[in-house]
Amino acid sequence: MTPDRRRGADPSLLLLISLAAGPKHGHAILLDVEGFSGQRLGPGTLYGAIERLEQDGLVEALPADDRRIPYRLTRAGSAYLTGRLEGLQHLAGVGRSRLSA
Amino acid sequence: MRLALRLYPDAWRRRYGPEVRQLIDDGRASPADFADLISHAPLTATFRGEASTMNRHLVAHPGRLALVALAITLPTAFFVSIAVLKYVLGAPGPFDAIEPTVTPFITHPIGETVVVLAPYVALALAILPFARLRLGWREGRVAASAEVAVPLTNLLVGALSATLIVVMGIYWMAENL
Repeated sequence: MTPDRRRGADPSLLLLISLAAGPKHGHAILLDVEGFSGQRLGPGTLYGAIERLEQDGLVEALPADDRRIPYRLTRAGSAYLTGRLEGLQHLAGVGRSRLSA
Repeated sequence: MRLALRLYPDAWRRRYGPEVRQLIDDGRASPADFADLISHAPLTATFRGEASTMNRHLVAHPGRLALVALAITLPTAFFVSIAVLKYVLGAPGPFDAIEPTVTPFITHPIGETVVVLAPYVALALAILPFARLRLGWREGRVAASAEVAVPLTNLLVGALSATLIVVMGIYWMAENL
């Protein structure tokens, strides 16, 4: 059986990547994440991640549009995401070079 | 789905509840979404230790909690005390006087179970509502911390219950090992 390559991605990272394209509310984040990663996040996962990221100052809420609250990356969130992606890129590079060795 | 939200603490529901309800209205209400909402509730509500509605009511009346816990553990304290008096300190008087009355109760399986479990229940009741436990999964690691701020009365009842548990444990080991 071939393991699903997209399974197990960190929801916080997916959320940050989604918000890197611009502010979104919860439903838009879920659709976007599902679109680019194939991972279907549930509401508990999504708002658990949003809560942690807000507490860490990596995302912030914008004024509410009725019951929909858009979120955006903070400057710290943008820097954090850049660092995480560079780290992942480095790991991917090491992995690929070892596989081809 | 809305019922699942009841598992979350009040503060969380006030902050994120309307958004989750909007998600449900937007069509995210599958059994998988329901399961996801439920499975994340304990992490947020219980382990993070933000007072849930029930916990808040308990914490608001620490004296009553201490009293109930004391009432639960007192019979065990009584039996353990007279057993220590007789078998450890060699003062059989008090136990011999009441032995015919209490023996049928403490030798009955149900009575014995009640006496043994009571201090555990009392300890949990006196202390746990005041414990704030945080457990999470961050960056591939389990992050856990605990903070306990217990009123003195509850601490004393908890200490009594813990002492009884230790004494019963020593007695059990002496009997069985």
